[in-house]
Amino acid sequence: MELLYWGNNGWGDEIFFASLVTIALAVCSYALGLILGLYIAMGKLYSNKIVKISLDGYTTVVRGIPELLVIYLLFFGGENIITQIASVFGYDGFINLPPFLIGVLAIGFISASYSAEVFRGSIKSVHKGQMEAGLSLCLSKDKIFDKITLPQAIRIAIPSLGNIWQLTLKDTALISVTGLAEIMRISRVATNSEREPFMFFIVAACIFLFLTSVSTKIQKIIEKKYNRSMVR
Amino acid sequence: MKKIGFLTIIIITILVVIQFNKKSSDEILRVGVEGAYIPWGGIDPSGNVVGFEVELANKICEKINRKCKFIKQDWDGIIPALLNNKYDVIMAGMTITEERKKKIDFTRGYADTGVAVGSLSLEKSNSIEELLKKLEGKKLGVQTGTISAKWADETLKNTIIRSYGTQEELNIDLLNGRIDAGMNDTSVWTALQKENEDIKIVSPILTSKDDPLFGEGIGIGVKKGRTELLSELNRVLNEMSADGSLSNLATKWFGYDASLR
Amino acid sequence: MELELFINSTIEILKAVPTTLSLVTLSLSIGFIMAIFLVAMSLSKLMLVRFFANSYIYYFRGTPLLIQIYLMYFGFGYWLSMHENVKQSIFWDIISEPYWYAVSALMFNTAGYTAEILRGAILSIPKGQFESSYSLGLSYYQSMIKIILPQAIRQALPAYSNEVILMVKGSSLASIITIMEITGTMNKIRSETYAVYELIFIAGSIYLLINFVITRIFNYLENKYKIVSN
Repeated sequence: MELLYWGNNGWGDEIFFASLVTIALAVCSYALGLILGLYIAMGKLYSNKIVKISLDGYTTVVRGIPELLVIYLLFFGGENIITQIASVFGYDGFINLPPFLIGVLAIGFISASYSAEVFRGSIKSVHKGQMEAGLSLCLSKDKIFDKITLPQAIRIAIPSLGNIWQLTLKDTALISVTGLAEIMRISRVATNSEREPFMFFIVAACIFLFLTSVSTKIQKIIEKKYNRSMVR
Repeated sequence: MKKIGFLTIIIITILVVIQFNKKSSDEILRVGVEGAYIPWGGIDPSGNVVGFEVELANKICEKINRKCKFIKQDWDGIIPALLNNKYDVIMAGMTITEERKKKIDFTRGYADTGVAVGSLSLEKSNSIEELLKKLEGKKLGVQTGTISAKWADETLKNTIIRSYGTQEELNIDLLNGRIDAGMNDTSVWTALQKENEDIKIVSPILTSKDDPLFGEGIGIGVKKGRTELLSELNRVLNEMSADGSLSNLATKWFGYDASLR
Repeated sequence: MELELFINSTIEILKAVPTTLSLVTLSLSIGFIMAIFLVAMSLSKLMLVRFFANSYIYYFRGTPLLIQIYLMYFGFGYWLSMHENVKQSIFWDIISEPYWYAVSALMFNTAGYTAEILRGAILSIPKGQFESSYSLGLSYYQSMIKIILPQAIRQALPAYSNEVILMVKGSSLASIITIMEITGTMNKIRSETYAVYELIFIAGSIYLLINFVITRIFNYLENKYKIVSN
């Protein structure tokens, strides 16, 4: 148990800060995923054929290959790609991305592919009459989307978005393969150096269980709040 | 909603631009280390990097008036990360080999400990032929991307080879018997003997004389094209070799003079 | 990357496909049987049995698969191998084999998810089905196995096809405990050649192909067993 103490002799502080990294990573990737996902969904629904096909390709590929491959791609190749893009704009030099940002991008891209499907479904499920009603009030198309379609679509999407949050949270563990000091990484390092098979992994598992349970609770509250006015 | 979207994109752009403009400062030498490879470089419980190469790097930095900044990187991504400019040099017990020279430049070697097989159960073999026979049907652990892994892959056809991400995970499985032997730099086994005296080096120490694959000692990896840095590092290494400080440092960490003259 | 290297890498990675497939099929089939038991337990009248099943599902759905694999191999397996009598036993050859740890980790994981899918499906079958099978003189277990479960499995097919794809993707994590499946082989070649994009392209295409075939199979099954309502 001393191994979990705070300070130089124990891993308590390392594990605590690693948990914060995990939470930050999950929140940022989830937010990125939501925003990207919404744009992808809109592109899939309202854009021309070429955009539609490429976006369909994106979600199919990202959901069809292991998360680990997406992470490897960005981690080993991401900076190269960005540098090459920058060199097109006349920048000669190398662009460094901090590991945290690479992690956010990788998990965010994965999360986006799932969110996109959810948003697409929920936007589609908003009744057409709503749009017609908006048009009859002389609202512009953008306004109708922002003020009428989207709020309802989000409300419909909430339960599924909650599931994606859980998925994203668990996916952050994979970032440990890049060396970012999140929970998994720290428990692996601690296990190796203390030769203690169970403790650190069990602590890590408990932290994840705690995080997933807390988010389930919050999710229930949010669902309740948004369903209050929903009369069906 | 669109506003939030644009705002996020702007924030991300700013973040990237900040990274853009952060020119690699001249005063800092960023050193890529693995940190799971004692005595070359490891991590203590407070998270600091320690080891032979850490001290060597600090000495080198002192001599070239720079400050060392150590950046940890897993072994199997250590060359790509150098190519990606994550750090300026690699000091991670990396053997100078022809294969690697195609990708990066190396300074002169600063140490050479050779490669060996460590084991709890196998008996000592005196030649490579004997070793090959003894390893038949056994499980040999190697670390992905090392010269040992490549050699084992090419030479040992009747041995079950397990590739580990880090030497420490290999050590765990070697000590608890899930693999019969491990193959890596000799220094790794002498370090492991401190934890478990029963670990023995059961092979002859393999160097470039046995197979060119085993390289020309351990050197500092530098990205191609950075000739100024390379010659500066070579100059300092020559100095340290001449005044004996390199041997002293090597003796301190390896228990004998493992430095390369 | 030169063409020759590209072809050689493709061949080498393709050779690893059977390992991935065997990992996935083995863990999915045992996991499915386990899931049926878990569902039965979670619908049990005994509180303790119910509690066990529910915590099992809760744990395996609430933690990342990566932790479960680590706990299996570097936790449980490490602990096992610390015992001398385990090492002397005839099972040591199996116990020291990382493959079985990967299979069991994947199997326990999919059992938890599949149980949750099946439970949801069973609860969605209208109560009337039970009542009518009782009225035909079937016992609880008979009506469960003959009437409810077939319908529930049909109901669960879309969700289960997702779970199968998740398992194919999850099997890539076995590479971390030294198993040379698709991702492991890709990593080995990458560490030797330093090529990134080409190798990820090859491995990614193989995974996509596998998942495409799985989707097709499940689409076929869904169509075949479609609930025909008038």
